[in-house]
Amino acid sequence: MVNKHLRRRLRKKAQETEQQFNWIFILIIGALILAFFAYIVLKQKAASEIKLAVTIAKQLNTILTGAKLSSGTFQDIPIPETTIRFACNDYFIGDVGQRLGNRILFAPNFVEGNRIFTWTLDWNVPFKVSSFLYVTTPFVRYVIVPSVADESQLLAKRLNSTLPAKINRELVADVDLPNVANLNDKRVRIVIIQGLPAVSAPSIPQALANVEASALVIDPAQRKVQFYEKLGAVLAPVGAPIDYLDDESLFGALFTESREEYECSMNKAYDRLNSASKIYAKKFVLISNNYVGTACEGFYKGPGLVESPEQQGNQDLLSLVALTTATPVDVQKISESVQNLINTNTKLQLNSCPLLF
Amino acid sequence: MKLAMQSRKSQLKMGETVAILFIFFILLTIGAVFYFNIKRASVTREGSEQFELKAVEITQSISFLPEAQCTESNVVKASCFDLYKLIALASLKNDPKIVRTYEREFGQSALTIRQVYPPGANYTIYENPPPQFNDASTTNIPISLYNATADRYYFGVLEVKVYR
Repeated sequence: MVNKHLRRRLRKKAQETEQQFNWIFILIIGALILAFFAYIVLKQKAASEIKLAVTIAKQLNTILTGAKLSSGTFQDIPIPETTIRFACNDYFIGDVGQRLGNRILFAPNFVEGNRIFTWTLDWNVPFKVSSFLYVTTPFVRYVIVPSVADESQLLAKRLNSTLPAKINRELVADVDLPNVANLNDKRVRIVIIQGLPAVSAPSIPQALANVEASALVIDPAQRKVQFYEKLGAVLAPVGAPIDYLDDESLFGALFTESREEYECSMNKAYDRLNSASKIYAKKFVLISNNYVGTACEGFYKGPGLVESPEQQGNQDLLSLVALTTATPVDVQKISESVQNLINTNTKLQLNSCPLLF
Repeated sequence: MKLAMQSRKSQLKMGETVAILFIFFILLTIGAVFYFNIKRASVTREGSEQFELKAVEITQSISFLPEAQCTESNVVKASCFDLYKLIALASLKNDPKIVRTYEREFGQSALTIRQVYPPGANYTIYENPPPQFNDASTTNIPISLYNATADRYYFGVLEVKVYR
């Protein structure tokens, strides 16, 4: 009797244990299957985000290539809501980067939103060397602040009238700068036109205290620019002032927030100028052989520079090669060579000779 | 006897569960293999598209290369290459600075300009083939060539070969 009772209890216990074990087994396998699918979903989510970034980066690359080729044009391009980080040699959407190659691009550090503005200008020094591509968004506001000096007022008016109409900018008198209102901007770039060195660092208007602000001081007399970045509540100068060559380079400084990125882009431009000058110098040495003893010959080929007398060619083209090979590049001397080349081209036209450019 | 039967029944049930799981994972694996094969095909297709896009980009860049284009008073003439600039470019193609500049723009490709009429020379202005390549896309674009000293235009073809 006792034996039978014990056997029944044992059987019941075995059934209970088996049931418990079965449940634990189902729970573990269920959890494993759930974890597996959760892992797949998370991986797919990350992959689709990367895929979207790659798609935007590729489309943007096509847009930027097209924009570079259509010089003198301004485009307002709708893009998916995203943040693009621009550097001198690449741009990034999330972790996805795309090389810019030889494209010379000037942009704020971050371009946010669902629209980008692209503006392309030819860089003629004095012959076309490349195209400068400027990128910005409607969320960046440019506040141009001239001083009372005539030169400053003239430059401010020229900048204001040359910038495409859609670019979010305003001209403000220097006395009104502290009263500039916050128009719900994400980024503000204050462009002050005055002499350098600046008496004091530009201050951030009170209403813009919480906005991403940066500043650029332009000295039109010395043709220099000084970059300022926000450091806490004030604007601090970054490095020494940089020389600018022409309006196209000046617009580059206006659109680029970082001094380092601006210098890098300009170095790329000077590299292109170096290559182009070498090709032009060589071209005119070849052409000169057809004009020996004529009035044209002297314009194409002269004695080499003091540092390389064996290399004959047009003095100004050879100077451009030498100036853009040296570091740092002497921008003021480039301006002189550019002016000489313009004069030579006019003389060639008067003498009915093939033109330099 | 009854206990042994009970235990056998449990083992059978357990085996059944394991078999179901086994079949489930086999089906999952087959699904995954199928999915990844489709994915691989689409990645290969995207790679080809990307390569074609790169080839078009290089073709566009060379067509608008200021160092080779014809200009008159700084006004660019469309689809026209200056013969003397091409000769200069071809002779300077091994200059380290020029190589570095164009490598960034043209990557692994070869750019040749052939004078077709009147028959003339070929100018290879850039050449950077990879040590080994599987495929190359070649695009031929008709262009005009300008001889500044003779003030004449010739017919030519720009051959853009992009290596993969």
